[in-house]
Amino acid sequence: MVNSPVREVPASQVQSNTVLSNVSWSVLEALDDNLAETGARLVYLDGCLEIMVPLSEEHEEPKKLLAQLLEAYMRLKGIRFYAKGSATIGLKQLGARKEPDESYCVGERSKVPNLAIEITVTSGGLDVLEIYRRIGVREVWFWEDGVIAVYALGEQGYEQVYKSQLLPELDIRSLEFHSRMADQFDAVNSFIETL
Amino acid sequence: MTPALSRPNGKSTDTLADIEMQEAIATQASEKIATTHPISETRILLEGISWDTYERLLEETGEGRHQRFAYCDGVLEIMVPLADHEEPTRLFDDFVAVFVDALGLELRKLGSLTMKAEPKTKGLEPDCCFYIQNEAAVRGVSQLDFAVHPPPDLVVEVDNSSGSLDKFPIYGALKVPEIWRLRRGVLTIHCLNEAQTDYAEAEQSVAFPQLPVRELPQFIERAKVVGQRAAVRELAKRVKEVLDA
Repeated sequence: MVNSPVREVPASQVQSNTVLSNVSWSVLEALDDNLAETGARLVYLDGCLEIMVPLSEEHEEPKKLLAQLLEAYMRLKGIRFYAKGSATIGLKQLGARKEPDESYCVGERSKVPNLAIEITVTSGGLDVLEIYRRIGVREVWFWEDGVIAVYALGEQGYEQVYKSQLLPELDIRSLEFHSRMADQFDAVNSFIETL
Repeated sequence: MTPALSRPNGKSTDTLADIEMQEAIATQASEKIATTHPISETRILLEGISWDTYERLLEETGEGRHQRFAYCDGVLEIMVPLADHEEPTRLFDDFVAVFVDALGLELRKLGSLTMKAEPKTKGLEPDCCFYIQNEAAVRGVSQLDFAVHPPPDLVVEVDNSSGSLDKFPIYGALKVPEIWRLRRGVLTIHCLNEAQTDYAEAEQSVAFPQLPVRELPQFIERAKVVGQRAAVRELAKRVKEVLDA
């Protein structure tokens, strides 16, 4: 009973998560329906269901700060964007489904976002990049403790890159720096000044 | 307030500041305890889950699942056991066997048997469960049906976490006569009252009235020092002393 291929070690007390195996898409949908009013989030890949329950709102602030910084940048640079927030993406046919922490259509509006942002607070979950690869999200950014890792989708799957391909002019280090600032309002103002 | 969040001693008139204060104190206390007692297992509480979803999850995740589910009135708890949870659980199987052998009784141990109560609002998997007094009634029965068969005589719950789903109403609905709860190194015995409505803490076990049940945590600690089998043998020696006295 204790042997499992997935090790669950919560990275912090911000969120609890666990992975259940052999769950059908229809049970995923039933659970999703039951949990609609709660903060619980479901990630699904090939029969494995990860359930995440936020224990505090701690990761909301960095998420919203990063979103505001990014949105300020795109607006100032005249780059059209459509914010899709945490809208669920994925399909039964793909066997994969997830709600990004934030997602955007950069450039033009489309059904599937081309940029997904993940705020990492737990380890030991499902392979998020495999889910995004199947859905075909062009770029995935992971933010963890103020450090951003950018992954771009290529022929061989995702590769870590040091510049965003969607926003090649963006200084990722400056974005990271401002995402670590204590005051959300001042951080955005300060970032705008650097642009 | 939802059943998952209500606390037995919580007053509904507490202000948010009071609650935050109490939680801060509780956190400090648990941090202190954490240095000497097991780290808490992860328990995820999901609200608004239908009985149908619970049953389908039980069915699909089946035998290989290492998490344990408990369900009560729309709240599903998923418990992810750690070694600190599993080790005492396995030891209880041996400890109960020692008691039964010393008294010349029979035993049917069923581990984390999935139990569902009628009407379809409550169900759970205990850490371990045993038929003792009613063993003969269920001997060799592979499909237990609690509408026909008696519930297990004894269940053990190991719970090191705060904020877990209250299992007693579920055991009450199943009419389980006796619960041993191990919490942060202390074992308490809870017996179903005559009206079968609630549990009362008891000095003595119903299944083993003459035996030193509440001393069992000492033997769990001993297992960490002398080994599991040596601790079981020490318990057998202690039981003999008690019975010979």
